Amino acid sequence: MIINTPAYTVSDNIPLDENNEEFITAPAVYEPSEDTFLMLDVLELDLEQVISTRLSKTNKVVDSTAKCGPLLVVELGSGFGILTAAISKAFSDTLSSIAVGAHCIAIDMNPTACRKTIMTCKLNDVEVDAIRGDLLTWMRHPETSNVNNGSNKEVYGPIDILLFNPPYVRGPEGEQAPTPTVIDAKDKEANDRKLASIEDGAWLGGGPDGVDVLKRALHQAADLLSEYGVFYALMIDYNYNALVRDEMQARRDRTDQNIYHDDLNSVELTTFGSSPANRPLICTHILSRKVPGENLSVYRIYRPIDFN
Amino acid sequence: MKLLTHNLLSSKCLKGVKVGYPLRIVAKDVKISESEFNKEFVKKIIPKLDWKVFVNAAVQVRSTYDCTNVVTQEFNLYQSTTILTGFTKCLFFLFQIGHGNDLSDELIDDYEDDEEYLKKVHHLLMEVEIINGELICPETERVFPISSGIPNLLLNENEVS
Repeated sequence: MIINTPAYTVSDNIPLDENNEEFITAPAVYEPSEDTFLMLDVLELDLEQVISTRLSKTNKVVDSTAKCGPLLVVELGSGFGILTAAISKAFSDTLSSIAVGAHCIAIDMNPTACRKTIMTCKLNDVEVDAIRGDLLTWMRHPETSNVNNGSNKEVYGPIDILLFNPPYVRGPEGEQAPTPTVIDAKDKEANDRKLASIEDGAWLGGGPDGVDVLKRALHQAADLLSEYGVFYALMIDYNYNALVRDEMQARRDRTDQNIYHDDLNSVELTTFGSSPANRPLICTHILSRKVPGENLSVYRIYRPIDFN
Repeated sequence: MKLLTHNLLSSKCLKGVKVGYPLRIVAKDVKISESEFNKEFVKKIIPKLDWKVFVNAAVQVRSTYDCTNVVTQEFNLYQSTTILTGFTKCLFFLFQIGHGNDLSDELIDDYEDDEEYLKKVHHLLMEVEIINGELICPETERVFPISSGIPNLLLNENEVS
């Protein structure tokens, strides 16, 4: 399967649509870079297989030729919207033989990024929705909605594919990542300060291991991924080391006798979500790349299929 | 923002909110765009929706909607038929939403084979887009603005539970 790099433009002078003449350019948006393209390569490498071996299981159909889906795709911190545009486009062409389609939602706390994402998607002729929000805090929880899936109350979340190229860098003094908050248009000075902090801190993953933001996302993802859903997350080497270290610490603290499915390429994570012990996640290494000064990897995080 | 996305939104993260679902819609500007009818997609998305929330959202968009605010999307500005297509789409919209009472609270049994019904669902889910308006938390009345089609669901630090 081929996932094409979508068209995008770094020029600021594009209105959102023909009815909107606004050219909002601040705060600046993180531009597509090596990490973005590594994520694209991972989708190309892994996604088709994940759809045919995992996501297609959700639709139990007699006819084995039936396509899977529709799938819900959510990208966190979408920035320019490259990943959302690429995956949305893939579903409308290369993946259309195995999936009926996908609904894509892009999230960013930066208002300019939300607009950029929509622009990039328009440029690639795909329709997505953008939401200004903080990770997955805006999403309905399985227990609060009434979904028509027969007698079984929905126990898993709705997200089939979650993408996150998080801010992953640690600050020299373990600085916190900027807190996403509403910007109140009335107080111009406070607004500018907040916008500047979003811009300045766009690379900060938070805490001594730069992993605070990713851990929050993991907590939410554990509850909101669908039964066979997958979460692709990019990490720098010390992010992953911190996750593994914390997992081992948690197991030691519990002094439990469980057998874990750890190996060289994957580790079982048992501390995320509202019922982590019943629903562990596996974090498997997919692809790494060395770029100047950084060793980046993308992991797929998912529930083991043979669980139960 | 499309109604398909609205079906997933909640304000549960607000302090003191128990369910926070569904968010009430006040639509000020609505855009109707054309999107290709994908029968399989619609058929299989229906079981994944909270149906009553979806039907109710469609009613709320209709009841707060004013004909003068329809922004029709033109695909080719150079075509002489532009005005005509805009007009037709506007009529189509009024027909679909203005008289769209036939999506009832209960999903019909044989929807999978009813192409007209599926097309109606497709239109409301994928083609009606709220451009400007508000989403309102059902428990606290906290307003989340929608502008340029993008809802802002960020909370202030003192609002988070």
